[in-house]
Amino acid sequence: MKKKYDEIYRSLLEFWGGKFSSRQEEDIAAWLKEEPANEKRLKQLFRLLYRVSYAEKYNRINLTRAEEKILSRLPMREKRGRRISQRLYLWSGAVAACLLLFSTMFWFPEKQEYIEKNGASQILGGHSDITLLLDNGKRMVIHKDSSFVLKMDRVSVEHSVGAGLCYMAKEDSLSGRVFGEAVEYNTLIVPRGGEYILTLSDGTKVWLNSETELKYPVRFTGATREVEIVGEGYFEVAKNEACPFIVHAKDLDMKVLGTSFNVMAYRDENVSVVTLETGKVQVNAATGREMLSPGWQAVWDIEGKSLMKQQVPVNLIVSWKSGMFDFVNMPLEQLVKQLTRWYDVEFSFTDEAIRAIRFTGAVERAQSLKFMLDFIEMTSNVKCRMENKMVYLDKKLSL
Amino acid sequence: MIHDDADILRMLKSGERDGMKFLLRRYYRSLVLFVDGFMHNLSESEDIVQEQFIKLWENRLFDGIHAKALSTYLFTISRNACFNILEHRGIQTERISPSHLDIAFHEAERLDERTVQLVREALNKLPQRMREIVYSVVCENYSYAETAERFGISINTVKTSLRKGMKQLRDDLGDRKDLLVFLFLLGNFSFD
Repeated sequence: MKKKYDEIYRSLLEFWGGKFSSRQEEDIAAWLKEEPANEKRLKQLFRLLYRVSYAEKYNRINLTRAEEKILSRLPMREKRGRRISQRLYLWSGAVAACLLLFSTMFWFPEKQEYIEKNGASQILGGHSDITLLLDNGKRMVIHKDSSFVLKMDRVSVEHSVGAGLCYMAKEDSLSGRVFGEAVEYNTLIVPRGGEYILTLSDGTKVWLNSETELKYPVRFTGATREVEIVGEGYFEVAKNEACPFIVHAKDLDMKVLGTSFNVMAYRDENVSVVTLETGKVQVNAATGREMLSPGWQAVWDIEGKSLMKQQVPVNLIVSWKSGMFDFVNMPLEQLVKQLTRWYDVEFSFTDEAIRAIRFTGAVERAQSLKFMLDFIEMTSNVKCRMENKMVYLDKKLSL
Repeated sequence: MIHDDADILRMLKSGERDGMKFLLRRYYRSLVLFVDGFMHNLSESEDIVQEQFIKLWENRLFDGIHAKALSTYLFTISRNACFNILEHRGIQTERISPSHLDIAFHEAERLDERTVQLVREALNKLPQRMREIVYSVVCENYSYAETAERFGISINTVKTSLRKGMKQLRDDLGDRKDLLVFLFLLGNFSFD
């Protein structure tokens, strides 16, 4: 056993140094398959190797010299004409030739944009109009920057810029239903490229992300408060211990008393996810239930019909409602789904392998689509091209 | 005074060259080490990283970057630049696994004077010959056979010294909190 470890240890260390045989490489691959824990062992070892070798070389880097060198070569921004010669000066031989090709993109940004991403700089998310579907079947289109008041039986609805729709019950808000009174429902439809905020008659606030529908009674009556959601929403539920708040989503129900949580349950996703920020929430699915505490997330696997829970950084998941795209190690395929909803454009992969490329970043949602595409291009080997609201994603050709 | 990423970005955006100075102090060495992990040539790695900083300034690439994304952005453009060079030389960079990159990135990102000091102390605690052997394989990337030849010892001695030396390093450096988290994930595994 010890001998075997010695050998694999040797293979790993020589692999680290880049001097390894193909047999050693195969040994490592086989060892990794032996048990899942071996991958963690490999990572632990490499972490240590990096730490030691980085630390050893740290003092060989002369920061002061680099500082002087770079600062002396930084052109004042106004002197744009000098850029080419400055750049050539820094590079030599093959590396210079290669970098020149690579940096062409930066020298003619205007032209590049015109050809590659026609119109993308004008595409902003969050501006689509919202549709309100009333109980009598009538539709109202709501512009974000309009304000109005709707009078309904026992409820008045106010719409104002920034605060969205606000339902206010005329009497004591949660008093029982008047005998014979039918429950009246409204449905709010946030299309692609939209987002919205709304306050229900009990004071519960709901932030709705793009491509989301919420159905709710205009006035809560009876023993429970129940709403239905398709898409993504963040709920800040007004506390009322006598009257549980129940959210129905695709394959999931959530029961809460007073808490804040995020629900993501789109039709085209293969998971539905509930993430709790404060309070407590009980998530019910066909095959089981989970009680979540803050920082936990319940994930329903639609195909596998299984419910599991995990701990997550909640702020990343709910940051959309404060105007951020926050993604950590997110595969391009998933990032693109969010961009599709927010910017109301379609994406097409012309290279399948790039779907799995992972991105980490934090970008304000107010940025244009062009900004997002540039971000993707500059931080990866993915190339974006846009025509008629269709973005084609391809692998950058290597030089 | 310590300048965080938000401060630095603000200075860069208002055209202050000092912003660049603080940016370099914060990231330069980490980026060079990270790039050197692929290039295995420290002075070339310095050139590559310097070019990124100049490009960042000239093209105002920092304009659209959120403070939270600055670090990842710098590491990513540096990685892309050296991958481009490597691919140009016919080296297949797609064989570098993402998890390996993650480790290299995280270790470089959190490297600071204190960590460097800790590592040096840990190395200095090893007996001299053991330290030389560890250094030869880990930092200079010699193979076991080459190391044995350099010091005129048997491969078996190299094996034993490395196993002991690495274990001691791991035990010593395991005091750091972030490494502890990692060890916790690993359970009580040991290579011995």
